[in-house]
Amino acid sequence: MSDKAEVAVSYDVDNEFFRLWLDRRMNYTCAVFDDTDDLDAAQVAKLDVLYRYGHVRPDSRVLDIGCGWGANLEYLAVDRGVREAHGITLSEAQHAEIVRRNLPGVTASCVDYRDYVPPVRFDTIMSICMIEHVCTPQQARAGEAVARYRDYFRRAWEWSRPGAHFALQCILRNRAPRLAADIREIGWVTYQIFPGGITPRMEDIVQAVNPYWEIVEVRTRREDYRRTCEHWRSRLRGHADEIRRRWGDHLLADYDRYLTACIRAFEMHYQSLAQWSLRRIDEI
Amino acid sequence: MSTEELLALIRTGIADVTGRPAPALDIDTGIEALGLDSLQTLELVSWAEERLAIRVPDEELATVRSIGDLTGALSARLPGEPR
Ligand SMILES: C[S@@+](CC[C@H](N)C(=O)[O-])C[C@H]1O[C@@H](n2cnc3c(N)ncnc32)[C@H](O)[C@@H]1O
Repeated sequence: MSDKAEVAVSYDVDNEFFRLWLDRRMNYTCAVFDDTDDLDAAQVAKLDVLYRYGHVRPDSRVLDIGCGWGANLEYLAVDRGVREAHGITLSEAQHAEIVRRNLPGVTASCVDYRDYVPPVRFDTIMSICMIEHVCTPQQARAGEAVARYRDYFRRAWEWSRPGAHFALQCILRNRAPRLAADIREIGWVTYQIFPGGITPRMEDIVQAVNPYWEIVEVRTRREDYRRTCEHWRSRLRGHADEIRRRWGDHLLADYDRYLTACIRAFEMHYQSLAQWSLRRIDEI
Repeated sequence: MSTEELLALIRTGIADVTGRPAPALDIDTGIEALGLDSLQTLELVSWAEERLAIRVPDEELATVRSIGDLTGALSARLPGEPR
């Protein structure tokens, strides 16, 4: 699993840096372009899908595991009038941003999910591209991935009420790259941009949800993630001068390289994305 | 192709991928003990696939932990070989 220092490498660069090229609310995950080509609208469309998958209602208590800078929490509180939404992140910078937003009914903790002690049981669990941090490449190689993911699903089960739903979004490791250059670029992103993490394979998740959660719906969105990364990269390039001036050439070059590798990875089916609607199995 | 021939091929591949001479190995040698991370393992498999003109399914790659797993996955795909 990514530890706090590794999470800081990925997310504590500088909130102002990410604000320049993510959407308005700073979703750092795949958007849904079914009916739009606008990044802001597509990020709302993504959160609409997960809202439905999580069977959220205005009087629900929602937990967002790995909540980033609070895009989904803000959507729940502001667009949907959800009464109570709590987020957990391991990034200090993200936590500070959520506190700064001062959203009605929203609370957040900066804590490792394995140390989290919920004050109440939740009606809905949401987790958007956080499970990528749950297993290290070494653990995956040692055959421990399913056990790691199952532990995460067990915790979510314990933190939720009977009848709860879980809206999950995650990147999938799909076809293995065979071209040396592609293997190297994926390796560079894995170790330099997201140290300590690896994307799960779909069959790992299918095994790991048992015996806690029933898979009700799954939808893959490989092309949506390619488009999301293209938006991010063109916005990054659009701010190239400012980024160079404020953070140096290196950061710009690294993030351009990383987003370029992701676009290629989605194009080549090395990676895909899945959205899952899970229903709690109450009698286990 | 015999197991010995496959092992020799894999040693050449390891040297190619890591840029270092490959140590002695047998089917019980763990991939990690050879100092290969998961990406280098992938490079090694791709290298061997290319030489042998075969393709190992992705889900099998994910479970390769020892040299024996690798020779097994490769030889199962070679034409005319008993499994
Ligand atoms: C790719 S970001 C996604 C953020 C957000 N869900 C979004 O859609 O923008 C992954 C998130 O997982 C969080 N995370 C990673 N490891 C964690 C851990 N062990 N405990 C809690 N949060 C963690 C990171 O802090 C980050 O907020």
